[in-house]
Amino acid sequence: MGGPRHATGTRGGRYAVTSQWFTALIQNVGKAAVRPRTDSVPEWVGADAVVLPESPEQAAAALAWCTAEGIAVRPAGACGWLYGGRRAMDRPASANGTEDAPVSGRHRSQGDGRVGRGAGNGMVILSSARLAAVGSYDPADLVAGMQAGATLDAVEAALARNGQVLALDPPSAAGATIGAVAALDAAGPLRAGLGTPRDQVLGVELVSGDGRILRFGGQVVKNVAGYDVTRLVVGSAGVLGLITSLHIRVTARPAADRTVVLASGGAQDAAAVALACRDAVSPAALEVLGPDGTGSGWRVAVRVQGSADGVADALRRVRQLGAAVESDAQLWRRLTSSEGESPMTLRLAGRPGELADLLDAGSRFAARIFKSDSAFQGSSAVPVANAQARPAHGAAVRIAAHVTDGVVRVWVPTSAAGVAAPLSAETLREAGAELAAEAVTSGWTWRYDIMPGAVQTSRAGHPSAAPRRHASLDLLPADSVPEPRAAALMAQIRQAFDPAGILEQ
Amino acid sequence: MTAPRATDDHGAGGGAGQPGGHAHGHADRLPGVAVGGVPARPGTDLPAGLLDGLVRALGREAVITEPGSLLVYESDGLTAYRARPVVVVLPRDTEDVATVVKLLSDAEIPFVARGAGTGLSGGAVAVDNAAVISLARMDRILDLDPVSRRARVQPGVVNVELSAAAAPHGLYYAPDPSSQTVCTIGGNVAENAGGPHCLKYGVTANHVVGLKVVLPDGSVSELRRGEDNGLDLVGLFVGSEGTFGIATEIDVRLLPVPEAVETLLALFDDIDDASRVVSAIIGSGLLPAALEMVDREAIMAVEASAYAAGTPTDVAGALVIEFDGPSAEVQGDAARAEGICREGGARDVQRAADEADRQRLWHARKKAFGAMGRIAPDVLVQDAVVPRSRLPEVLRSVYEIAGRYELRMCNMFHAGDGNLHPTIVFDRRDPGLVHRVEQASAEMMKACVDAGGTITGEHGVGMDKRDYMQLVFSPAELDVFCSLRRIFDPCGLANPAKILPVHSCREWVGPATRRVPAVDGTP
Repeated sequence: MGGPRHATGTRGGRYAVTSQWFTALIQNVGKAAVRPRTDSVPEWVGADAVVLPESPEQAAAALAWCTAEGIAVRPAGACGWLYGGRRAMDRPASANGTEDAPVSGRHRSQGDGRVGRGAGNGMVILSSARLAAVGSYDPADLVAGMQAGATLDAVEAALARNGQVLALDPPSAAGATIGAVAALDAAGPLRAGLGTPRDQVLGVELVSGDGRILRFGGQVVKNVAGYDVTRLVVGSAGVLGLITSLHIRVTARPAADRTVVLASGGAQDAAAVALACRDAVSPAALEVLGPDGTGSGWRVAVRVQGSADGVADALRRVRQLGAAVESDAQLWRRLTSSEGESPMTLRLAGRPGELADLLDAGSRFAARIFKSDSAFQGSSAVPVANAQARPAHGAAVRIAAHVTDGVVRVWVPTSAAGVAAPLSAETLREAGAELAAEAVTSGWTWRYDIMPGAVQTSRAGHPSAAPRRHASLDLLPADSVPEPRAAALMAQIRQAFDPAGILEQ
Repeated sequence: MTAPRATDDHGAGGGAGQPGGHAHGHADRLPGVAVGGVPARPGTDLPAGLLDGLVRALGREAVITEPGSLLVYESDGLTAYRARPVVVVLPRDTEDVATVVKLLSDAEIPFVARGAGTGLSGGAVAVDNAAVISLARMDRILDLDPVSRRARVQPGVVNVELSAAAAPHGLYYAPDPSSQTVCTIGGNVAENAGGPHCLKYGVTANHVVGLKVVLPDGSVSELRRGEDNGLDLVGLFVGSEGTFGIATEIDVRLLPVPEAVETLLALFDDIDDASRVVSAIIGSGLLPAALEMVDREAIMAVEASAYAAGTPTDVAGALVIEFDGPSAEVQGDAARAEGICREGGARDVQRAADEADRQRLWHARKKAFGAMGRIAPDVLVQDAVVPRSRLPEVLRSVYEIAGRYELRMCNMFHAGDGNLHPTIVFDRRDPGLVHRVEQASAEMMKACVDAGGTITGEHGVGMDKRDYMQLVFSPAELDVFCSLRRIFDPCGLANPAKILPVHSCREWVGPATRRVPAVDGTP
């Protein structure tokens, strides 16, 4: 690196990004890969610069320089998703956490003198958007290699040429990259069939926080050489480094792919019907769907894939378990895009056998954030399309469950105008505290995915006035935390990849 | 791209703060043949008071020090590596394990967890004057929840016994390593075991959802894969070969027993045709539950044994193809696969008429390893993986290499996964032959890695493959492994001398923090 210039002012001060800072970044990374600070791209707001490397080596140079200078780095895909408080991993362990909800302190820089984010040395978004090649592959391998910045659409298009598909339908907005899907272990309803990216990603190339280019796993379907760092990297939300390429399992496009939706009397009934469906067929996807604000009640959606004969037989069995209602081919896409665009999603996980209880807890959470939040209720940005659905869950709050994994989600869809009503932090915290108390007793885990701007804080004088987009996160309910020994191991692992603690989620 | 790597250095641009290159070739030793470790003098290396502590904690009958009894614990399924443990303890629950590990850790005595001892990589060998912690008595199924399709088991539960316990609920445990009638779930977790049916259902890591572990300092941690974000420590722990600690309670997924099974045996006159058909079936979109290959040598060995199944011995090779699932699905799938086999040059395709017939067809595959043992005193079963489309050419190289070194070899393997098991029979008393086996093994590994593959698919690295690690990992990547190991086990007590390359490890592990007793027992 040849002694990168110390370009900034005093450590720990307020913003001290100067033109020398920018010059040093360009010297270390290359002019073509660096974009200056701008407010014209919404996703880039808050960053002092955006680095768009064209090679893993360039990404490595950027991370090595930021490590040396103590500059915060936000690994990103196309900047739409693996970005901003989508996962509040670094939520401060402040006194603002609720008393009964364990406060997340797991990945926070330890105040041990390490230069962490927010130390005032600036912040860089490191995006894999230009590492977007989808190489050719042999369809008979059922494994494809690609760079991390390839969009899901581009990957699907490349696979379609061979009659193949990804067995993944993550909640996603347009432009989501495969790297972000892997980094977040993001999976949708199809996880009932082939699991989540942790089960499907066979190898990764990662540039670690301190700028080492590392390859783990590979392109073969069985591999026990060394530790399974691939599984560690998938779902790590960027805290170990930037994924630059990966190999993933692909599958043949099924000959038949059909969905049946069964009506049910309520959440409890839906849970029972869903488990009966699971036992009757091997579903590719199996969801309990709450009312969607258009007059629908609770439903169970069953997707089966396979040969024409096999699927026909499965549909027959499913129809015996309830009254089929009309559904359309867009059901799954609507579901995943509604979730993907949601500014706030609660994910609550237990066992499939606890599905009824999980749905009950999720419904109460949904009702609480809907009913008690005046800002939310009164906002013209939220269309309350179906008043009758309000008491149970709120028309604007959606709930659904991945049946086979016992995962309930509660989310707030964006309005037709694409703008969600901001939730109040106080309401969320209260609802979160209630949920946390029940979840801890039941041994469930939970997490909030929150986009910046989704939450309003009413506290005057709070640092939300500062140009930091995460300022209100410490007012939000905390995620469940691993038990302390596991959390300590995670912190140490993080430090092994990112010794200077520069990586945001 | 996550390029397949050979021995080239791909650390350009990275490597900040890394130790210098360790790119020497793999050591001039024969994996699977050389005797590793120095037998300890049992008992004599135990510090005063430790034995008393162990007996107090577990009871006299759960602490073995008598040399004759220690013999059984000298090796695992790869008998070339041997070392006698200083003591063997048999805990019954998590608390026992934690107590034992704490006592050993305080005394700076390394330890090796052991399941049924069926591993094939020397992973359970107690080198370095280590104690063995046998999990054989931890054989209880703690919970079986048919509605959630989950079970919580102790590590000593035998693989098939979990499936037997789940059977009344119409469920089973999917990973089925060939040793499943004796091997334990704990050992499967340590090795991330596979089996013929992981083509469709995945390996152990795909089925473990949570772990209670005793870490090398004796502390207990609960690892789980939930929706709470954070790192997947369960996934990292599975396959760590006992170097991160000991799993004492294991949460696994159970699957519904398939409604129907169809099994085919396809016979080929040309082994190339057989491996091309493997690719054709996978590429067709069919997903068999198992897709296994056996070659002529293997068939001949089985047919000469008590398990003779009437498979013609004049064929070049055979495929065992199995489909499972709903009846409506598997009938059609089997018919399509049969068509692909015939189109691809199969001389004959047999379809199992009933369960007994199915067992017969499987004999050609499942009994081959045992049958090879009758041919010569020593059997070396290799384990490597290649992309499935490269199978024909890699298999040709493997035969070419064996031919060039004049070795007797058979192949019976998980073709659908690209997981090769070249199996060489030899006699270790012939040093020239041993040397040829060594050379041939190394060349086969290199051929697989060059084709984009890796050095082990399911047997693990253990002691056997340590020196091949540099074929697939750069110094920077090996350094990450060392860091991870140090995080879980700062004192280097858990299963010493496994996974990481011999020469590099001492440097990378850093200053020794524990006392290594000398061979004669003096500190």
